[in-house]
Amino acid sequence: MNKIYFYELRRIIRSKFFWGLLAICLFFGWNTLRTTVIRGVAHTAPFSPWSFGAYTARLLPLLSVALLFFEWNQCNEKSKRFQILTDATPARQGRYLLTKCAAAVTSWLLLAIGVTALGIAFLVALFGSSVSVGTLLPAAAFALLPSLVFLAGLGMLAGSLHPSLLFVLMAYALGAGFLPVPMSFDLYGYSFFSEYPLTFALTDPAFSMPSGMAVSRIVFLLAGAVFLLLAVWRRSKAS
Amino acid sequence: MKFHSLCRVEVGRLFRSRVTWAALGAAAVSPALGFTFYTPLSGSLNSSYLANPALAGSLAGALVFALLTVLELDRVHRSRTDVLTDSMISPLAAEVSRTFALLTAAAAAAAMALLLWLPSAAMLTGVIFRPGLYAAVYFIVFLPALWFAVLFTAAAYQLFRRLDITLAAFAGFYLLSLTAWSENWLLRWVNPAMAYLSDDFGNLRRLLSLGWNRLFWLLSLGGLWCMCLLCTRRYGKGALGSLLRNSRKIYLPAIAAVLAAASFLVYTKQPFIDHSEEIIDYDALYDFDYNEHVTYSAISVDAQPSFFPGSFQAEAVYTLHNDSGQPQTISFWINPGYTFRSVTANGKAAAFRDLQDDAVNQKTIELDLPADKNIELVVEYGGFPREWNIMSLYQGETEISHDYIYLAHQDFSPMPRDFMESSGIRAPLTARITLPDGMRPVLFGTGRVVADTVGTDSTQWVLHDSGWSLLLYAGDYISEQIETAGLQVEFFYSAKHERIMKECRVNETLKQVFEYCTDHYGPLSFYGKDSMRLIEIGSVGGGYASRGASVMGEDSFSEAGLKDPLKGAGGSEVMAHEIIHQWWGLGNMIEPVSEADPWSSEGLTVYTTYRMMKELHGEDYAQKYYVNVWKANTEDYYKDFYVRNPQFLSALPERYKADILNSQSTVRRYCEMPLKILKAEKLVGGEEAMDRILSGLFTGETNPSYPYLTWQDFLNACNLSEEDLNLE
Repeated sequence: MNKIYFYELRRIIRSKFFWGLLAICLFFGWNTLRTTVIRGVAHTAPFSPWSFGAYTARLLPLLSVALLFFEWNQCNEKSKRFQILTDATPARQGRYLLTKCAAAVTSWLLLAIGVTALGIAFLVALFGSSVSVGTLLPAAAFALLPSLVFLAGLGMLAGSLHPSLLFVLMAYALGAGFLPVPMSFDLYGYSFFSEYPLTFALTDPAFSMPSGMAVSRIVFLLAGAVFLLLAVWRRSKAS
Repeated sequence: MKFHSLCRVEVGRLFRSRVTWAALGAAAVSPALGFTFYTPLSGSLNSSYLANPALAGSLAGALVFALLTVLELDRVHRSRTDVLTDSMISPLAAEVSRTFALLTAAAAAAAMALLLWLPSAAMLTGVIFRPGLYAAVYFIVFLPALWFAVLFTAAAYQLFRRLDITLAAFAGFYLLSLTAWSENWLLRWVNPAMAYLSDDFGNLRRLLSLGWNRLFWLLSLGGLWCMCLLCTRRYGKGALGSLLRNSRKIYLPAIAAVLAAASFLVYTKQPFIDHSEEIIDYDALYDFDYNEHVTYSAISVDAQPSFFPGSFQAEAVYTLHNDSGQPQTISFWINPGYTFRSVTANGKAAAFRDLQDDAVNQKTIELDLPADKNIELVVEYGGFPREWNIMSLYQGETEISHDYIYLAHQDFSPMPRDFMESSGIRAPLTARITLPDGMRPVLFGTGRVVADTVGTDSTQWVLHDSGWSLLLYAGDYISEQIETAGLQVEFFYSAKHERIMKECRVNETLKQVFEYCTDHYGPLSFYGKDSMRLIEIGSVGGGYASRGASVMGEDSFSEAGLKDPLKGAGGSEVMAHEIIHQWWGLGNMIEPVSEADPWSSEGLTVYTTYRMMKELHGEDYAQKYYVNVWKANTEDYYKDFYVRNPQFLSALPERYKADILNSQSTVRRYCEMPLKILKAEKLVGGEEAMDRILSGLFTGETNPSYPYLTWQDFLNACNLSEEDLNLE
């Protein structure tokens, strides 16, 4: 499966599509940094974990659409035509699907690393040694990972049902970043980063998470994992 | 097959598809979102029931048509029928006809939306419904958004020939308009910058700006589409190979280049917004040497507005006096959109230079005067009035149309910059202007208007004012005289608002304000007149006051605002606030040292509004809608990272610094300063003591050499120091 994983990964990374997406994400990220993040979020410093988390959350609609595109590439009609061949191989189809998903997730992580690096570079250039990179990364991970797992799982399941459903999911992924929903239901967590620090009596609170938010992240992670398992089960059953 | 036959076939085929009809239906219904989920504008019926649906429809319709476009263009390649069609017709012609058919479908969707929402718009806006405005908004806002989505998606597909990449590119293009380009009025293609649509006055200027935005994108995307059309795959070649092959049709790259060049020109040479510096250099603006040898004793203007497209031509005559016996150089301020066509001094041509130094919506024009003692200077000037670039997202204030005219200071006539009036009294400024019937001019301040010559469908008016400039409004104004607190108040408002004004007894509010302020602070003798003028104007978000006049945006008189008792500091209280500026006047009495200085007329005006509402509605009401609001906003301000850590602010690049300081100044003036005055009130012994102090400041003599009430004057009157008023 390692060979298949690297083959799939290479297939994505070598495509113009990946580099185009990276360029779009970097451009969008740079604009977000200079217009929003520079002011700081919820009275915190622009280089606080809260502001950095908000920056990452702002980019997540675009990154999520990218992830769903990567998945669409692997379950569109053209790819399904190869399924006859892969079904004939002795490989377990569930594992094969998971491997392809891993390649899509890895490609997405590369995009996420790109925009994260851009954010850190921007902040370091403006605020120098005040920026503590070590505190920014957990906030970024907190924003990125639950939505990654949730959408990766949901995307694989939707793709296994019908590839066109991925486009409906893309619309949801785009809209989810702008819908006024309660903090816990916010997939990307932008409202958490921009509103939760305001509930503290002190300014510049250290990065922390209320239990409700932690539970909601775990629910998103678990739901993503369940969707993924369902997709794998469907694929194994179909073969 | 001839091209037009191909287009006809393609349009017919597209309209037989169920997917197309689903897209048309979805796009036509999408303005419904503007009644519920997406309501960025408020303050007028046209904003709520016409602009919001059109804007929401643009956002949703663009998504629908981008999807339809990419599915339609991908269809022949997905089904591999392109192998057959390419052998019969030129792939280029096929792509063009498909795009043309999609553009036709978008036009059909816009027409459907227009008809579908017409009854509800007419019903909800009632008597102010104007079919022309309704159609213009849909055709300028909604339809182009669909076309741009089609053109961009078609261009991206021709370039990549991949459905996924095309959709990703469109997602980026769409998001850019909503986020990174949201501060640039020309780049917002799917959510054009429309801050307001007037009910009572004109919207021509707003529509022209929107039209310019649409023209820019039409040219840009047209050019992009033509360029990408060259990448239409031929003979099994890739994008580059096909581009080289297709470039043999030289007219295609030529058209693309022409469109790209035209869009560049449209972007850079836009006539609506000036090029003022972002950071205002007050020293350069107001700290310069006056020419002590040249004075003026009269100004007369013969104005000739052009109601479409809203430009202005005029001849101004200045009566000048040069006591030096030498040639002199003087300068004027004028709107950056205007140019001087000719200047004569005593009948001889005089040299002039446009310094192109746009700042705060004015530029300087220098001119050379002869050595003559008395000079009649005749200046012919005109152009399209530009608005200040910091207001680029809120365009439409300065208007010249059949519905409304608003021309202020340098928009009306060149203002003497570095020379003064020859006597202590204000020099007469007389102007003539011809207006269509039903349009009545109103002057800000104490000037008079007289109907001079009545034509068949127009009237020539003579405007009698004084000073170096005037502010002119014209619309379907009617007026009422209100006698209150020993003053004759003349109240001008749009005839369309007559019913609401009567129903809401607006006169009562006016009387209450005048009686309260006169009783607590003294009469408006500061202006030396026993009358003042109140004027409703075609804008939203407050107003301004000076020289015995106060203007208010039409949202101050909106039916909802005036009738809602729970609205607190809005509606009629905004009106009260603006009238109170007559006492704590804008510019006349209180001048902030800088943009960031919290001491301005707003602090005392907001405080006085609070006191009046406390007297009218009780302590709880005033606490809830005033003090609590100030506290919440001030607390937010004090918590701001850059306020707590100014060293980081000073280390930022100038552009970021200016943005942050400007955003803070509003809170400081409207919330922090009233809280400080409230604290001063407690420290000096209560409301009555503060009233005595404010009355003394209002009626007392301020420093004649600097006739402004300063922060230090206020502190001295209260016998307090700045530290005493620090807020916790």
